[in-house]
Amino acid sequence: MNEEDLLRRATEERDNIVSRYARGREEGAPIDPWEDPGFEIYHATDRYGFIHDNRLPQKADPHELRLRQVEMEREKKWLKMLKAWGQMSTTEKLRRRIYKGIPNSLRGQAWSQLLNIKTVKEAQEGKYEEMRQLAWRWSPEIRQIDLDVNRTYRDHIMFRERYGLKQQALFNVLGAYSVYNLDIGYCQGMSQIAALLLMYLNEEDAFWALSVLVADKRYTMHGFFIPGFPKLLRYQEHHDKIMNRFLPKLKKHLDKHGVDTGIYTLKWFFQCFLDRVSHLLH
Amino acid sequence: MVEPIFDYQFRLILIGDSTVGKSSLLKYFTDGKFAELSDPTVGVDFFARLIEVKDGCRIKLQLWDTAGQERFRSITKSYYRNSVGALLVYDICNRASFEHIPLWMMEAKRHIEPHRPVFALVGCKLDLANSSNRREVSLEEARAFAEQNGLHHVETSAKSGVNVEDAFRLVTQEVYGRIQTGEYKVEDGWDGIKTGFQRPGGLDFNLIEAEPAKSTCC
Repeated sequence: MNEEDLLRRATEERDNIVSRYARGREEGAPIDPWEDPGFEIYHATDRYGFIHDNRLPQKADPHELRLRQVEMEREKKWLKMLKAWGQMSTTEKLRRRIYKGIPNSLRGQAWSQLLNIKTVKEAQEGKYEEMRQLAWRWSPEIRQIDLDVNRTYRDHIMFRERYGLKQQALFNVLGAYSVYNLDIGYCQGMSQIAALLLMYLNEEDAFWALSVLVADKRYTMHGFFIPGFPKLLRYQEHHDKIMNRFLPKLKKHLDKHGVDTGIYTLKWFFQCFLDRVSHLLH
Repeated sequence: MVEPIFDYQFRLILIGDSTVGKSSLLKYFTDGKFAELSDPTVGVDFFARLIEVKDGCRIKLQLWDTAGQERFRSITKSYYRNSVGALLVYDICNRASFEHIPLWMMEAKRHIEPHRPVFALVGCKLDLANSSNRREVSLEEARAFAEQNGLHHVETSAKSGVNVEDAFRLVTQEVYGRIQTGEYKVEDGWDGIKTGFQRPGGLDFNLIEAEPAKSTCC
């Protein structure tokens, strides 16, 4: 295109835009639904990205407002901690603050630090890409992964769209992991953990985060996911013992009504309390 | 006690391949709603509902939902033992899920032994099969298999709700029938069938061994 054409096109474009504003909303202005604040999804999506069936209240209630206030205070503290991570990373204060809930805006950073992702990733540069490629060609778990990606956190705005960006990322992370750790392959339950990581981390970081959770001495979720679930059974036995010892009445009551430990502790141990504590606390 | 009044409690288990629609079936049956989005079931999940059988007897159903992925069988198998009925669930639009039904049935029989459970073969996603012509398992074929193996059969849709109620009702009615003929008994240490808490009148008649109960309990 020569200069004259370019100029003409720019002029046309400008006139077009100017005239749209001059006409205003009336006379059938072409507007996509999402361009207006009336777009329903804006009103039903909470601050974490979960889409609800009904419109959320316009004004946050006093309780909610107070929580946000508290979170803003925590943000300041966390920013300080993240700057001085070297000295902070093992303190009791950090531990306490994690249990109170990492502020939403800093979760990605905090998780990266806690799981030491940068170092782990650098030590195995190129590995993720290699695994991803390998998975596309060879992973025997692709079928189950596909089934589960299609129904993992579909009520979250990032995973809402079939084959959307984060669904692609989730598929890749789980596929790559299934060939990276052949003892585990893919186990149902991992898709939600990986998806939660992906809400705050990019694809490759989420992969390494999952890897650290499974293999690192501090977390060793390996025993949860390998066939037979040895670690899960051990945790549940232990939980029973604690209940019998410290809450015998409650334990008896639960037993009497057939509420066995396996039912209600599975998501606690197996999936890091996901879906069982408020998203606020993750 | 604040528990709802019921005469018996039956435990049923739902088994079948991954994503055939076990959880959606249960969701509709207990909640009356179709879940457009539902997370994969990890391990086992639990539902309950009260229904009435033909003579007005009230039955509380405890329903165990299970993960379809093969490796979870080591967990789910401990839930078979205390079940009196099993719904063998397949997806009408997924041939393989139907072909695996005999395996699921064997698995259930093996773990429920020495008890003899009531089985129902339940096809899911009838709406999908009808609307977009994606049926991969014909009604005749499924029915033939069910007859051969002495199972109830029903095709359901958890979207429209068609036959969902029937699937559970068939099994419940049969279990109840078998109690009345004396084939099933309430046993200590087995939770497949339990008596309710609030009607002492109905409590003990089936504890008497092998004596068929002719009275109704209500």
